[in-house]
Amino acid sequence: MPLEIYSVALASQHGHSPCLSTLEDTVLGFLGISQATALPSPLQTDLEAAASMMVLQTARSHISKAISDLRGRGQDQATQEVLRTAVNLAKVELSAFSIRKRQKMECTLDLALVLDGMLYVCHLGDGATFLLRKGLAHKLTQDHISQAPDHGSKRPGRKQALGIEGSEAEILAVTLGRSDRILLTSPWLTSNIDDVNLLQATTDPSPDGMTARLISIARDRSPHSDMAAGVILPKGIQTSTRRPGTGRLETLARTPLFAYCTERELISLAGITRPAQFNQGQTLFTQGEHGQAMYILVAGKLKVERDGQAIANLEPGVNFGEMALLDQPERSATITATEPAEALIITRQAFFSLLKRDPTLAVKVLWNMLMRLSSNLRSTSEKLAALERALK
Amino acid sequence: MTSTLHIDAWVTTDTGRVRKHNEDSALLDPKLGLYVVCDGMGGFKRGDVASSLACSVVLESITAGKRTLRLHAEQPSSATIAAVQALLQNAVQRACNEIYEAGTSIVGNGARMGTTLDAVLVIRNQAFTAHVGDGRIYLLRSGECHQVTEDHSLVQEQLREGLITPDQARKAKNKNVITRALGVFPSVLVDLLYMQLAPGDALLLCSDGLHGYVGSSEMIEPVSAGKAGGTEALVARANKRGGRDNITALVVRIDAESPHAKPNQAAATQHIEALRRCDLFSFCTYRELVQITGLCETRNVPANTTLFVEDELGGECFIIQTGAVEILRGGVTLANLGPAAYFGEMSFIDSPRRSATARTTKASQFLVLSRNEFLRLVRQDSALATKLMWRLLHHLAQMVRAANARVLAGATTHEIDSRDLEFDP
Repeated sequence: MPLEIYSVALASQHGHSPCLSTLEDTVLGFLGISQATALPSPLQTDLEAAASMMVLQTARSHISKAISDLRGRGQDQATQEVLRTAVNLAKVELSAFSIRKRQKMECTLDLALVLDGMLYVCHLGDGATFLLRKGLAHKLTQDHISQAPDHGSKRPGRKQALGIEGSEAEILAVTLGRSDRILLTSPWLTSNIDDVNLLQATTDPSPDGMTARLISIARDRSPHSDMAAGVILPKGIQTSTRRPGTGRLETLARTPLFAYCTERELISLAGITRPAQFNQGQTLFTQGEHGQAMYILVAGKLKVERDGQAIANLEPGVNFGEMALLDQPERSATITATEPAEALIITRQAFFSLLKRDPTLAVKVLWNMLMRLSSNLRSTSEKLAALERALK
Repeated sequence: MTSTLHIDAWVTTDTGRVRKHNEDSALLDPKLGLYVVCDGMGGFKRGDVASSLACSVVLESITAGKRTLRLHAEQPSSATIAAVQALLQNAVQRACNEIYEAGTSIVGNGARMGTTLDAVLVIRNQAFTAHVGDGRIYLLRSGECHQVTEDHSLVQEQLREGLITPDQARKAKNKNVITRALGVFPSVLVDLLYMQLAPGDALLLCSDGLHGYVGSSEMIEPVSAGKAGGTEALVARANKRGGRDNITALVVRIDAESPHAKPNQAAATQHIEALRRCDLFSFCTYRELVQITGLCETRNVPANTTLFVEDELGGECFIIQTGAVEILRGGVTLANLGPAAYFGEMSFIDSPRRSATARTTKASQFLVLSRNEFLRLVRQDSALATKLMWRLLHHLAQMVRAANARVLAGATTHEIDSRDLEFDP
């Protein structure tokens, strides 16, 4: 798929290399921004420039090798794994670099990969990736930054980055729509622009104009910081490559269990779903077996049977089996596809680790589960009371 | 209610064996009931300035708000509790802002100074705490030591998000990286806690120079029984084990044989123990139990009293501390509940209409949590809310399954069809 990429990195002072790098690869559909910090005393800009570029090149070269087998096959999970490995390789290379140069380094990382109508985002640190869609800028990443600097040092307290123990990259997959654009910003740029600046700048039709405007706004506020920005313009995305309205985000947005979730939260949720296809007559699960996952029906029709009797039909947009996320209860019914069907699956383990990472999202989803269970209990209790009155 | 407890307080602060300067500061004002420990950072002439500025600004602000403290002492209510918490929060916020301003003028932009803060304000038999950073406050009670603050450190946050294991956290090299401090930004998020104190309780405020070397189980003996609150013994122990950081220990001890102590003051302990036994709170830390106790109202109800009636509107959840309760629906007994059980939680979730009737069968004591307090908690503390909602979900799921099983059992002998059951795979 053809696409255009524009990126720019600027040092705050002439004659110095910036402490950050950008790397673009139009053939691969790849754009990356990394900012390096030498520790404990930053501003060793030559080293920082070298480290950040090395990190990006390591990631790009792995993705470029590993992705050729996946192109055109819609392997979302496999692609996310490739990104995860790329980050791990970059981690290893960075620690080798630190040892070689006898200098501890920390690098932020923002990568965007456009492949088969999907955007894959990989993020560590306090840079950011935005999805520019229909005049709005959706921030796809969370800033891994804390309120305080290190005890006794002056660098910002970064919670996660390459070079910080226990860091794990956020990886997301987003279905691209027609005329979506992707914007990557470096840490100092991210922290010096607000929503209004973003909206103003993104109205600029030329990508160069947009990045220049953002950087000039941020420069006014923080004149001594190195900054970088990059834009990807995917071309020829046809919404029809996937059936209309069947993008993961659209499906999740319509799912009652995920009501009240923001775009960013839906994207995190999308990242833990796995798509699955079922043939006509195929069984999704059987009454009595222990559940490990919940399902969201994207397309097709399903039949619910209990003790051999049909009790309900399910239409696209419903979620079911969510009790399996809570414990591992026996399935109370058997579910079979009555026509070819497509569903998103969320496993208990993936769900649990997302809830731990994002308590605000957890509260929304658990609340929706409570509402559903509670109304279920109320109606069952009413039946029970009616039954017991009748038995008296 | 003149239940003033007899209180003693001691503090010991030490430079340690490695550093040249002591950047910790402490404040002890028994008259006001204010006790503060701050651990400054940013180096000499910065860290010590930040920590002492924090102490003096907090003291000044609390002194200016004496009237609020008096109102609470005279007639405590949820409104006065909120007012004291707001006073304490503002005091810390002002300290943060002043350190930020001072930092900008002394060292210019970029290099910052800052400080952690742990403060306790004791009014009658109650304590209000404020916490920012990686200092800690421990509550020592009945031979147990409970940490009632959560470290604002990188390692603690990674642990909570499940990125590292407790074992990795213990071995982590970057333990001293903190995620919140006063003076780094113009304002800061402050953790506040309100708790009831009982005779014999002690509070220990300390900097990481102490808790980095001395485990919570080792603190019980010196603090509860040691000479002068055991602060010197604790500091000496941390020094013996390395003393790489400044060390401060401040102990506030409530006399066990207080002449004015009333028997009901042990109630504070009983409330927390009741919550501790209750399944709904089984994932909560001691700090969170203290927090929830502060939101609950205690209610004593004689035997054979109806608490609420089916179909009436209600928004309270009852946790049984002592006694027994019968739950009925349409005249049929659904359940008999005893201590540590809870009921009425359905009114938190959807319709506030009671789905059953509840009446006491014995004289009972309850902790009552209102829907408003619960929803406020859900908005303010999503980590705690997640734990409670997770337990609630399990509880509801069990009830749904039990009810389904009963309907199915009845259905075989009657004309209720299992097809009428809610679909819940």
